[in-house]
Amino acid sequence: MKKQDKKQDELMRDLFIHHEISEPSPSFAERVMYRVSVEKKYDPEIYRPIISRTAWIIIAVLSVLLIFLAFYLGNGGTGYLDKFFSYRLDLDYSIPEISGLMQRIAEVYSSTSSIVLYVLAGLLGMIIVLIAEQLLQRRTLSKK
Amino acid sequence: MEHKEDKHYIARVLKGESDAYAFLVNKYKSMAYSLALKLVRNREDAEEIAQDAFVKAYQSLGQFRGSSRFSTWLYRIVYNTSISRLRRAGPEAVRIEDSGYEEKESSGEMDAYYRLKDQERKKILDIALEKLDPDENFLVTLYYYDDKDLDEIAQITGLTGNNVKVKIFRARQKIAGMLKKYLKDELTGIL
Repeated sequence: MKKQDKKQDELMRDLFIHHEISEPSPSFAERVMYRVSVEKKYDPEIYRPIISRTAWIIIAVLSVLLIFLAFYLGNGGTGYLDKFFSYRLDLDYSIPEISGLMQRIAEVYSSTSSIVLYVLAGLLGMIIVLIAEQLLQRRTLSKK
Repeated sequence: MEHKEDKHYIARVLKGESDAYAFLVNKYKSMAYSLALKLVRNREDAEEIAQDAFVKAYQSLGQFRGSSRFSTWLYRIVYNTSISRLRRAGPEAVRIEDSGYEEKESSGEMDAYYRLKDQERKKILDIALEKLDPDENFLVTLYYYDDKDLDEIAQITGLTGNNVKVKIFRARQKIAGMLKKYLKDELTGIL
């Protein structure tokens, strides 16, 4: 701090020694406490999330692992593990003739990379868990 | 110590003893009201804002994690409530002027200052604070009166630490400029 600033700072501190802050009306605290008393009393039970922070960390780590695993496994024998093991099962199969909606789903599935599907499945799972937690929490609160 | 005492009463409120909240209200009512008044500059509005802030703090006391002081948390609510009220009142209410006090006092004026009586110093500060922009008045009061550090003020206002520092520096210069002017006028009056 520059000498001038320091001087001004000291001056401010000295000035504020004599400062008096404004007081609210005498009934201020009474009115706040009245409003507080109208509020619902706190439940002695302290809020605890249904899914704890540790559980969320484990879920996150598992999701990341799953994604990594998906990358290593790859799609259709192009992944790391396939290259590591020099052999692979030669399963030649074809989708039986189906029509309508099932056929469209099968087309989407076959045209999408398995990594994307793994990630989507993971995200979907997490969203379901989040919604379930919210619903359970609401139900718990409404019972109180 | 002060922090521990607050925590004790907060824990009691969370256990269902609503009356324990009165301790916190009585302890911080003056500062909460005063800070709101500095921003909205209207006694009735300030009283309402401070009351609302205490009720809001009570309602969300379960979310108070205790990582900061209760006062810091409460003043943030006061600040936000005041700003919302000002925004609702229109842009004129939040108008910020730059009064441009950038003069520096000389050592002679400093001597003259130290010869002033306490009551006069109080008067000068009251006048100077009144002339500051509301947000500057709010910041210097937190910093010099309530002894909050820059980080805590940044938490309260949502500004960056650097921004707070600059604003306090400017406010300090303005007050020093006003003080210089006051002392000059006083001396002219005597002579």
